Amino acid sequence: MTDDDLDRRLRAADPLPDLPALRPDRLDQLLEDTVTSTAPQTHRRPRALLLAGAAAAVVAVGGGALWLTTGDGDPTVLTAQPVGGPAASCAAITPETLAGSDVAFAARVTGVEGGTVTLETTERFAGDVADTVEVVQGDAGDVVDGAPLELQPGTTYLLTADGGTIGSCSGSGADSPELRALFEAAFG
Amino acid sequence: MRTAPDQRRADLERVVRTVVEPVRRYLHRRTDAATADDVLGETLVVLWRRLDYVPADPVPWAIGIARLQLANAERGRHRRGRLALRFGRTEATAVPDPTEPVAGRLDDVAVVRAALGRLRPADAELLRLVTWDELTTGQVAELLGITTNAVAIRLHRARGRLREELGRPGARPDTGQRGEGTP
Repeated sequence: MTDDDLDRRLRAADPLPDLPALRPDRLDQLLEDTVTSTAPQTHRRPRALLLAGAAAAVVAVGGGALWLTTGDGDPTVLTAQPVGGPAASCAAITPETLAGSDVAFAARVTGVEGGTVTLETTERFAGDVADTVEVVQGDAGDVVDGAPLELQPGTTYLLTADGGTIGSCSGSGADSPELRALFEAAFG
Repeated sequence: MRTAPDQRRADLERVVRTVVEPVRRYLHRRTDAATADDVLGETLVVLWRRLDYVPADPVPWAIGIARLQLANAERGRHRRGRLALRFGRTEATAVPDPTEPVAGRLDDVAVVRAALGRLRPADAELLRLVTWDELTTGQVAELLGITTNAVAIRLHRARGRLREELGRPGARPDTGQRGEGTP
């Protein structure tokens, strides 16, 4: 059986060989809906997280530093530089803003000890990220947007760092369909 | 004088007219009509927001966005399915598989679909992209983020595996045309 024969059989098995084209009025409506679409539902770190879990197992990022380590190599130190003033709030996170990040990855918290959170990288979207990531708790007073990201054991997060910094407005947060859609749109 | 927003909208319209049918067909082949419509809308919104990044050939790029949006939609559906079970609701959450053969028909179409279903998902999807969605190897390379050469190699292997599946006992030989089958 030649490739052409095989492809012919495959094409015959197409479940949708004759989908009618979209009606012009429907296409116009679709365009209208698209350009008038509101900002994407941005990931807002849920306030409930601030109260959830044991306090000892909660670490705030934003005024802290991130180490990306391989376990025995010299860690790459990324310092935190909170953006904005005390009253600053985060702008809407978009694929465009995320796409500018140096590193983007998914990681699950495997341990919290002495203010250091250890995460296991589960997925890489951008940049060179080691299998293990350590996040050192910063000074909560340095967090400027009023909504510090908290890393809790067993939870998977989508994280970005830009210019050596996990900013508190970086778009990082717990893995959720909304945030993941933005990550995948940014790095897909 | 055309304002910047007008120009932007015109740019969007030009891109959408190029990609909308390939994206619609891609989606309708892989999910139910309602989900396909929803995901199409979400795909166009992403396209609108990333209009400055549209490549010269926007079709594989747009299908790539649709592919991710569809995966998200499917994940959401699975999650709702679990919740429905937890609360003891019995509403159907299963979606008809558009590749499901017509009951009782054992024609070549059914044989090919069954063989396709036994392939590794990546192999089957590659074959669908090339034959059903009519993407070139270059477009598939763009979509999957691999080289054209890698696509050609994977395609060669996928066709080989499909031939093997079609040659297995129980798979009907090709009749040379789309048969009508028997009930």
